[in-house]
Amino acid sequence: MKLKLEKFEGPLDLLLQLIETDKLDITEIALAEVAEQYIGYLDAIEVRNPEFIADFLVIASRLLYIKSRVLLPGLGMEREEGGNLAEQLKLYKKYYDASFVIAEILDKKKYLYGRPVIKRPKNIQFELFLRLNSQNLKKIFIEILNSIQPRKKIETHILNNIISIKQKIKQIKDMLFAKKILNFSDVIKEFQSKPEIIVAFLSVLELAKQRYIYIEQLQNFGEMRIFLSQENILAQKEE
Amino acid sequence: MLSSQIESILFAADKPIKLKQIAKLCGRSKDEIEIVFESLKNKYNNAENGINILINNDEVQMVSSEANSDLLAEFLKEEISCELTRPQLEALAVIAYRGPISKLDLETIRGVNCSLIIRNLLIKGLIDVKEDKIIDNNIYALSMEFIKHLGIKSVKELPTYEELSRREEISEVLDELKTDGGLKS
Repeated sequence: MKLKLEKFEGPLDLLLQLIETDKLDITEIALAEVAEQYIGYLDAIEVRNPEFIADFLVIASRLLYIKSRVLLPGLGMEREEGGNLAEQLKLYKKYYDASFVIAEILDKKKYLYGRPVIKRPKNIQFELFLRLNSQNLKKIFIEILNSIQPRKKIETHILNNIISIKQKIKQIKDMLFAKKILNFSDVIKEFQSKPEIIVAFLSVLELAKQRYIYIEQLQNFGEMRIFLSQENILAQKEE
Repeated sequence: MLSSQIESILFAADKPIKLKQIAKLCGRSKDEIEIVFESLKNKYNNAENGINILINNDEVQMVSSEANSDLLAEFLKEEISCELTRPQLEALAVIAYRGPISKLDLETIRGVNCSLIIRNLLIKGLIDVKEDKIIDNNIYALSMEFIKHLGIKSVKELPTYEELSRREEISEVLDELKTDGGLKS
């Protein structure tokens, strides 16, 4: 029992495969020959879907009838009943074969494209006012213009041009030459904004790094005193 | 001119249109419209044309030609896929060649109950249903969408369509099967 019943689409499919496996033509004799195999399949399956099985049983009974007539021709059984099962199977085979042709055609994937469904507005005409003329068209346009709110201006912040470290260093140097000793608070006295104070502090650090100045702070958070370094004092004197 | 009117309608339409609707719009009979479509088919449905006219189940639509499918898939960045199970394919094959077809006929050919499969195919939009007043029953046919997946302009372009759709011979077999009670549905 190699074939499973579930594999068959219907009783005719099973019957056709049995006959084709035995390489028989579709005749009554052939049907009589495969009748036993056919019924064998029915025995082998579980009755899970009675409706599905019913169609198989109808054909089984017809097969048995054919078989008994073939075996006992003398009984004079009428030919008509179930006699055209062979015809039915031949007919089925035509469409069975055609279904493979159709599968092949589908495999080519030659889809024909139609226009896609477009959702158009139902009424695309303008409704023209009878009294419309150039004068009230102008009026309407002005109304529209007036109704348009000017776009809200986005607040702008002009970023103040912050003094650069380079400029600041120059300033500090000038102050130092004048006074020799500076308090850091003097350096930032004229500045209000944080960025400017930071620039000033960075400038002082930069000058210290260059050994241009010395810094002295006697206590935490105390006043920073800035001195011109010795070399610079000498250099200045030479000038 | 009727032909130019129809072309414009097809061009502007963003979905399949019923022949009946075109007839009503143009104030003509459906027969007259059908005759015009015969010449429109000759005009559009040839290898040089990038636009084809798809005719299915009394509906029409302008579509891109099959030769340019890959190009358009790239242009529209769309991956179209149509994954189907064997039973679905089988049912679609029967409906393609025999449609519009009743559920009973479909089941007679397939030898198996098809309620579930019909429902699934309807949900997927691959088949259409309409009521046949003569047999007082629903009949099913391939949807425009599935025809587009096949890349054909009409089911008549399917291989061996003539043979598999021939009414009389197959209908006879079907009628016998149904009167025999050989199959219940």
